[in-house]
Amino acid sequence: MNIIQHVANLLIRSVFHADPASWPWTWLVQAVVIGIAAFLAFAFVAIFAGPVSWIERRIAGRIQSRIGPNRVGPQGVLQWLADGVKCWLKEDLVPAAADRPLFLAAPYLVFTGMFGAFVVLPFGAQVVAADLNVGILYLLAITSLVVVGLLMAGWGSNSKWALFGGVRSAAQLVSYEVPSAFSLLCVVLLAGTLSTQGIVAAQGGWPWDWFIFRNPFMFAAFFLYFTAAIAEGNRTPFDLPEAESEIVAGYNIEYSGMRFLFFLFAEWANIWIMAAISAFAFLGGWQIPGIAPEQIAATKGWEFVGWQALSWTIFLVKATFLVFVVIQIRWTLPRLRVDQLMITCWKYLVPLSMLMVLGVLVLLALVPEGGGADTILRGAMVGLGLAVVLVSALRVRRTFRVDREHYREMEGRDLWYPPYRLP
Amino acid sequence: MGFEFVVVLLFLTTSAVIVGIALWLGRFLRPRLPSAEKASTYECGERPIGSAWFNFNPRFYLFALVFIVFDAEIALTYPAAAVARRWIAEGRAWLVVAEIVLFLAILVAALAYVWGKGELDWNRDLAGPEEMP
Amino acid sequence: MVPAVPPPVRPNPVRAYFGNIRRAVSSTFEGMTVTMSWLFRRPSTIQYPDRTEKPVREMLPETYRGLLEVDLSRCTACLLCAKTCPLGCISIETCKHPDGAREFQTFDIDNGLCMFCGLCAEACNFDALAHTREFEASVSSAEQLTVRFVDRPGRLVAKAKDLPPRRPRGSILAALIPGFGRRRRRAAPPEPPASPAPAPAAGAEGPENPEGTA
Ligand code: SF4
Ligand code: SF4
Repeated sequence: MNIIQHVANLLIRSVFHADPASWPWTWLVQAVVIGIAAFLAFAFVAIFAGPVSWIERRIAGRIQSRIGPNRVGPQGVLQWLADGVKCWLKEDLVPAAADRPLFLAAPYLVFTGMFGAFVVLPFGAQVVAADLNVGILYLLAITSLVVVGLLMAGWGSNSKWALFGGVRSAAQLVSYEVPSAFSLLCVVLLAGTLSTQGIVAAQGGWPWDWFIFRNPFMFAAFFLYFTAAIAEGNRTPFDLPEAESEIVAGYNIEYSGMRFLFFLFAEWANIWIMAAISAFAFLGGWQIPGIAPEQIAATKGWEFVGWQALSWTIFLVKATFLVFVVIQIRWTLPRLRVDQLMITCWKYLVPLSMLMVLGVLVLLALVPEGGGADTILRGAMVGLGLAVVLVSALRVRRTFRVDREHYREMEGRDLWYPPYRLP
Repeated sequence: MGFEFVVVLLFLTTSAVIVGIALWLGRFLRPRLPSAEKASTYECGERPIGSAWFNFNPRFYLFALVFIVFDAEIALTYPAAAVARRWIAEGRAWLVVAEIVLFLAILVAALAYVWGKGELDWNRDLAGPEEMP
Repeated sequence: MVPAVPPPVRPNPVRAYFGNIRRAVSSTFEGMTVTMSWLFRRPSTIQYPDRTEKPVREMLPETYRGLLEVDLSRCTACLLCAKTCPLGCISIETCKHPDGAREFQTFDIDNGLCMFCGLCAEACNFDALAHTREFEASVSSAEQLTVRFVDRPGRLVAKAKDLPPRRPRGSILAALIPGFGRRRRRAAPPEPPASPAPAPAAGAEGPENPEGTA
């Protein structure tokens, strides 16, 4: 049963002392519960998007050898609140030349398109607003609503910068939808279902049960999906629609105040959504190592709540880790040119992701699950993943140590300054 | 299943309502001092020349066309992919493999065609090679 | 004669294709490790203004042309400075007492207009008008940008014959505008513990090979 119906029934039984099956107002209570759930999701987005914007600025500061915002509140943790309030108090301008209805409606579409994805995100073992049986298709469809919003903003502003930004973002989002859909197709092949909870349930808690480590093609598909998702989220190095140095700010250039904030808000939330999709489709989602979903469902009372909370935490940790990767990529890679962007998608990502689909399909037909070959494959892939992590850690350490010698010679001080030590 | 889609609908409505409320509440907080300068279109401080509603690069259009073909195909492939596991377990692996390979083959042919025609290159001489008189 | 240009070497397209993929992956990986290592480095920016070793004002050279300041006890109201200023930011008004002494009505310098060219200070023959090393001129309203040096009525215009010594530079501005340019300074945080002792070299990496194998 859906968690929302569950909560509504609980409410009706305990507060109204009625039988939910025959009570005439059941639908009303359910609607209210859905509204509250949506509001909670909104609060989650707000509370997430805000601080992450601050964290990103701090990380960007450290990567660029500076400090970052640290004035509002202790170490600047309230910077995002100050920014939000500032935007709220700003005048709402509509250019005289703009197409007014399009201009005013665009933020609604962008925000709704972003927010709709939350309906099917599997947060925890039983926590998903609606476990649609076409979940993945729904995700692909609803996120394209953002394109419509961006095009409307770009066209409706009647500004050349905004128009270029809008058209670029449409071309980009539309192109990168193809590789991301192919990569998710690999996931669907392995899971045998389109439902998001079903995909998580088809994986397991341990890394060798995750889809990413199932076989080499899935491993590659994860990175292909992640690249395409970054592009769909308009993030550097694919942030051409809002390339400041080329087209000032792109589609949102004519927006001010709160309307502008909603664009930014949707962008931040989109990072989290794509990280969450990667986490549940490839990295095992909320699965707790060593405990099966059925065992969780069988528990009662506080034990049940505890397991739920643990599964939430696991999911959030995975998604947040990917968000940090996205942030770091942004401050590592330079922006692509338009032609490079299109070539990357159509000449590299699309053929490669098709190849992955084919590979996963063939392996699925040839290698029976749970057999010896399957086990060896999974073990090898987990080993490969560990090797990637280890090698990158060693590389980081080496880069650091080489420069530390130089720094000590020049400054007479130690270069070591860990991220948790705030200036 | 109907209930689930009601949830989707209500979620979408709620998000639109939240945006609406935030913008409406802001009305009481923000100043409103319209002026002709503020209402003009931003063009880095210059006076805008003409409207922005002009014809833009048709290459965007080509990509959109290619995308539509691809996306429709992918949407059709999803159901086949969703049942692939079950059919393989039931011993009809060849059927589902053949089906998906057929879908992919159509797309590969399309991609090869577009690639070969050079439609994927952004920097392209649209006028073709110049001929010496 | 145009030298013959050798035909460009066309790389094998298939090799170029896979070479591109390999380069993209390896350069992204490389870049990520470099930026990651920057998270552990000391930022080279120093927090302004409260973490600098001493106030920034004191690090500036003596001849720095900061905000203007006039020592009214040395000013003869000769108006040279006001006439020299190309922008007219200095306005001086005096009135005459019946006994012949003159009293300042206004001596205003509009910092919002001033371009700190130093012509006025150059023109003053009595070392009354001078630049200070104050530069943090932000105030909360445009009104406050004009510094009014006549702080009380009855300030008499000085006689060129007996001038008091020049008051220390900056002291007049500081007295006029409390807290001006004097922000709270915080102590720098304690030094972090030294980095963990270098572990025995693992794999290909090691300090004896700083340029390293890629
Ligand atoms: S520094 Fe130049 S601009 Fe400023 S008051 Fe003196 S003469 Fe005028
Ligand atoms: S500040 Fe100097 S130049 Fe200006 S009026 Fe006074 S004495 Fe004359």
